[in-house]
Amino acid sequence: MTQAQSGLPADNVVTLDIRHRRPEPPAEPLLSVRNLHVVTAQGRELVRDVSFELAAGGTLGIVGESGSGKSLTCRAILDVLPPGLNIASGSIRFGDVDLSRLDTASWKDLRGKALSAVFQDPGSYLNPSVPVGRQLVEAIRATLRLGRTAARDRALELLRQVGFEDASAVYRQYPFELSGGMAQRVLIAIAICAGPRLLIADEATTALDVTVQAEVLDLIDRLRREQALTLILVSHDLAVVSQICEHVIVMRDGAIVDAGPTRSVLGNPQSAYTRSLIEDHAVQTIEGARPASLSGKGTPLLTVKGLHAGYGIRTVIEDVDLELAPGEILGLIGETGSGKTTLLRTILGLIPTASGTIELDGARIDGLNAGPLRELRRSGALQYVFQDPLRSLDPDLTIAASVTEGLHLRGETDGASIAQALGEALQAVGLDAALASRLPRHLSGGQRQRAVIARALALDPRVLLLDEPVSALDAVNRLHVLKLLRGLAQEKGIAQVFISHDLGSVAGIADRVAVLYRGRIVETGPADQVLADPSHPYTRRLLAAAPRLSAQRSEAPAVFTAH
Amino acid sequence: MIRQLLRYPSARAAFVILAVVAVLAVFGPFLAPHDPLAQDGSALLQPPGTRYWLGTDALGRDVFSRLLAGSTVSVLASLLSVSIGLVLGIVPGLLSVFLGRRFEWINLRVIDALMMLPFLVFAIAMTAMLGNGLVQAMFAVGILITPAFFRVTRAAALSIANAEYIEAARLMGASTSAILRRHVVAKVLPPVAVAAASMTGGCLSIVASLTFLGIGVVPPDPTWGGLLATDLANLYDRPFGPVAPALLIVATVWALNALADALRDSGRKETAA
Repeated sequence: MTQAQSGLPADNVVTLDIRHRRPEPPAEPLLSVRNLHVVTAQGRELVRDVSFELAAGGTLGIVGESGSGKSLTCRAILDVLPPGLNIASGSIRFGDVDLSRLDTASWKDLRGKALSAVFQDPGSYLNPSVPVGRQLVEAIRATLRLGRTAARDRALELLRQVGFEDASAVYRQYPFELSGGMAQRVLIAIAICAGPRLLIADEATTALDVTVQAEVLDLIDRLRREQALTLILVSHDLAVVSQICEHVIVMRDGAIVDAGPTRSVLGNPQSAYTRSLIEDHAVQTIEGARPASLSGKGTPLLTVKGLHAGYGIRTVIEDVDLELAPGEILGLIGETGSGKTTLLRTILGLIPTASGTIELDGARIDGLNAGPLRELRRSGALQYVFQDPLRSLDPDLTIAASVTEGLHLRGETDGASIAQALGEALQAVGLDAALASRLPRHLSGGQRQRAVIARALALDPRVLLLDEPVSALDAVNRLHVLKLLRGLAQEKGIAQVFISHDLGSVAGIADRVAVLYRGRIVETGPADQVLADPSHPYTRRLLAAAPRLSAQRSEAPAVFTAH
Repeated sequence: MIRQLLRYPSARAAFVILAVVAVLAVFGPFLAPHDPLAQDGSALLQPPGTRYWLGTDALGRDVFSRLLAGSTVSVLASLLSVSIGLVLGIVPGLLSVFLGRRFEWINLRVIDALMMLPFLVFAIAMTAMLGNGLVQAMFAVGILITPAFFRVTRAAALSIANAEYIEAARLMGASTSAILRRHVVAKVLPPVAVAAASMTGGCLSIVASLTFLGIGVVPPDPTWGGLLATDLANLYDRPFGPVAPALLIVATVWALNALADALRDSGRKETAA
């Protein structure tokens, strides 16, 4: 083993017997990171004095919000830091190899073989024009010197290992034919094809639905046990990490703020930040009373009746009825592909209705001609908030220009009143007025999403349609935005439809919940009731798949079973 | 923008060359030490000397003065074609993305057709039909380079047409023209500027080619390409003759291409940051 790790001879870095040997209590850690500092070319420290050790066969979770340095730490271990970033000091030892001193040739014998990784966005790591089987074979032949037939057999075996029952069918499929979860499985197969000793999963399940996320986590955990992998699982979600990992590190602003066995970190967090992460996770009601009785609210603001809609001949939305009272927040949940976004886009008039009616304040807003539709949109009564604030803000326009765009489009020319509206909107979302002159890329994720909400508020909306408004945010920012939305409903009476795949967010904010399954609403009712006592089997499945935070891992072994 | 460009050594050199060319183009005729059309019968085909710095041609005209005087026409002509190409390319390029499928289809077919036409032959045919003048010839060239600008504009516009911030603007009731003005034009201009810089270089050599063939400019008016032609005709008597006009053409074209490359690189770096 020692000889293999030194990189010489090159042909057999991974000794295969490692996989059949349970790691004994280690005298020597497999991975040891000491006083790691990562700096930009300008000298700004993005990772500060990070140290940890990981025993062979161990599992380590690294938790933190975006920009906390958790991914950079992993990239430093793999020697794939983004251009311009460098390791300033510190050592990274893998077995008895000092990774920070390795030359490119030696890395070739290590990366993808003994050290392997899976990243967030599986689609972008696969070549769209090559069947996945061939890409897998390519990886196998690059790492293990196998002949064509042997590599093919190994590929099929790997595909079966990562949970594809019909491996030979998947072998021939192109990446675009795979769902996100399937693509991530293929990447996991590629990552483990050479029998790595250390696997780094960097937000590997973040882009996936809860049910799929549970399956993929389950797979990673199973492979880890079967193959005696040492695992580093990076996530912004403490719950995800706590399910699998024995040890956890919490990072913030490039430094470790909490570390230790998962149970003790969760049970007895040392830093205020970790405590806030744990608290955010508890399903909690966002402060502020909810409307006691909705029946007493009079006429609904938004009414959808018998709605059918879709793309071309494909029907996505079937027979949907919805009612939304002023100041009410409706949580809309369901898997990807269940039609949540399509429903919102139909209400907005971006997708034509096939049948059914949509009324805003008693007036039909479906099937409008271009003129009245533009008038409705310029009135600002109905506003849409996108999932990814970075993509929904023009990168070349200042925050002020973006927030006031609707006012200008409306034909308002009075500079003073526009400036006042800008100030009020920024204040309402709690955004520092000094940020108004900045560009979107200079803001943090949470600030950007607030700017997007401010853009909607500047137009004095009556209904906000929010499509996954918090899923791109970390726990702390998520809580801020949820509080903000709750306040808007309460103080300004702005009705909201809130889409999220994060059931915790929905439970925290929504008055009522509607569950969408294959374009139909299968269950609707008060949030507490639906989430606590779901009546439809699909809702139960959705709830069961959601990761929960549990300090006692052993008590909840069945949480990550596949569905 | 300019300061960023100046970080590239090639861009600095390009700016110096282009500044000299600009001075030549504006003041060239006034700077000429001799009348570019005046013939000195006592000094035919002179080598470079103190009286005639770059020598004289077969008719005894001062080559240096002719080079200076020809700058204005050569530079203006290529700028004219690029301007025509810009106008004819950018507007349909943008609208083909935002005005619906039928308009898009028609535009693409017209551009496909234009791309098939050979430059020189088309320009010669145009001048044959419309009269042998520089404006006619450059108009022809302008039409022929339209596809380049159309495609660059269209590609840039396509890449942002489905951006969420454009949808957001539409959801706030923005018209297509408002979206173009606020969100699209500013993002399309940088790649178009790159194309324009390299096209100006290209046009300069086309102007040189055309005037070399005697199209667009009628003797005795001097142009860079025309000088090259007469110098080549007298190659046996003045073997170094073509060097000066050729160098001027090469240097200017190189400068424009270097500027285009630097523009492109600095734009790329900015989006990466």
